[in-house]
Amino acid sequence: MAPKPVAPEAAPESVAPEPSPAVRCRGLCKHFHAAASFSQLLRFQLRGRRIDALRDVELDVRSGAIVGVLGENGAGKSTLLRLIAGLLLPDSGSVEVLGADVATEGHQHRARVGYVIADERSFAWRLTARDNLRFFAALYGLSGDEATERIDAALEEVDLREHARRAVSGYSTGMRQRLALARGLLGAPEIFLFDEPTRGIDPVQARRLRQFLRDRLLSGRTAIVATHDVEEARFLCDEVVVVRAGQVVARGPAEATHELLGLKDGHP
Amino acid sequence: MRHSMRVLVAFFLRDMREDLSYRAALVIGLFGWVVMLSAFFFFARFVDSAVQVGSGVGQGGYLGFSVMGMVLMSLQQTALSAYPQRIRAAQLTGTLEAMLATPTSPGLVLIASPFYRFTRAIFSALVMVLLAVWLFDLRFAKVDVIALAVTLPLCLLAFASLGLLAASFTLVVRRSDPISAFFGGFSVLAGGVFFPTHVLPGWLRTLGEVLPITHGLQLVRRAAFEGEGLATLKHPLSMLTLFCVIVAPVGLVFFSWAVRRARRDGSMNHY
Repeated sequence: MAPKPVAPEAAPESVAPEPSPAVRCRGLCKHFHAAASFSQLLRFQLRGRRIDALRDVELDVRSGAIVGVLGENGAGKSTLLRLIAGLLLPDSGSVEVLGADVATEGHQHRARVGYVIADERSFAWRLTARDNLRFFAALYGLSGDEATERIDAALEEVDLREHARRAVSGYSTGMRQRLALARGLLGAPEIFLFDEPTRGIDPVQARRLRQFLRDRLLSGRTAIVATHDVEEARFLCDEVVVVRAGQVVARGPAEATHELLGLKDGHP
Repeated sequence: MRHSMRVLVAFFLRDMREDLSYRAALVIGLFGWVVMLSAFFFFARFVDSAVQVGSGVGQGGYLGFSVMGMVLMSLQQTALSAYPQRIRAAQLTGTLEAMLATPTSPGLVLIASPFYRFTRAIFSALVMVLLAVWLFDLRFAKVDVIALAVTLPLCLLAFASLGLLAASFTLVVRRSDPISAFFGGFSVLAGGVFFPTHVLPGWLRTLGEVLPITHGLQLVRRAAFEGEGLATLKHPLSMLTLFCVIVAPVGLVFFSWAVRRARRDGSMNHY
């Protein structure tokens, strides 16, 4: 059955944008080019076909809200998060995070944004968790006692303080994911961005991590969670936006995720 | 500035700890240098017994000539390959995105990434020279310390500038092995790494003048083995300085452009 998206205009009143949202995207567009094929190169075309990753995206996230960004692979979820994190520059439109334009504000705004990369390989595995965090603390501009305190607090928050002196290679996948969360906490962020936080981990660990995120980490915080897991979005988020082919096609409360995606009883 | 220093130190400590955790590789690496030096020692015996005075190898004999060649060659190749290798490794593991998500500027993250590799290459070069002195009786009969003290940092700056160009190239086309291979090969051919450049045809010697290693090697060999001071080293010194004055700013501008381009087209994490 073809999905029946709910138009953004038809969103319930409870998710209407607030006057000063924590994140504000206006007319956000981003395109990429595929690599040129050999035949294109022979015709002096250095770039392949154009791919519109995001088209005219409007998105407000109010302070304290947990918003899920749902969509299929390649829908534009990760691109949206990278633009909000300032890792990418938009082609047109703007992204404001806590009132600052991400494209013009420089790199400092990233201290206020905890972009959590859940890739468990993104650590030096032969080093201890503490050594890894100390390295990232320096990149967050922390040093000395301040760095130690922030690392301790982050490890405490993700329940890894007892294991801080162990090499990351000895960690389970779930522990490495929590270490990634601790890394995201180092900058004392006001907004969290999660790109598929439970990707690649088994269902039991994924469930534990979701529980941990909802009950411990995200309570009272602003967050955007990109996922293609409907149940994850329903469990973690207050509201969801559906992205399809680079456009926001629906938005509504998390309880209505199935309807927003055009799923009937959880099945297409 | 303080933040930049902290970031450099953080990269250095992280990579050093990781490197030291591979102890067997360190020991095998050291053994490899001894084997290589042994080969050059015996080759030097053969060459030194065959060549005549005025061959161009200088007072250090062929061993001194080739050790200096290897030292500067390894520094140049580290500068050319360390940036792309570190960037590529960070791309593959996902560490690059995690680092770029911090408030540290992308340019600083990328420049600091190979800092340990470069420092280790300098340390390795020192160890290689010490091994040559200790095991194979390499002698520095006449050394001009001031000339060496001026020359070596200039060589490092020249190689680091080349490294910046290689890093920019990596960001744009996502491969830089060809640059490293080309410079390595061309340096061996025309830079005077393993044989004096006067044996080359004139046109190739002229082409070799473009390479920083050509002038770096002349400076280091003449200062370390002939005892020549800055006054007699004007030509290679000015050529190497000119190279740095031109290539270092060009490398920085090209690198900033490449970083911005990668952020714009989203290719920072592509490999």
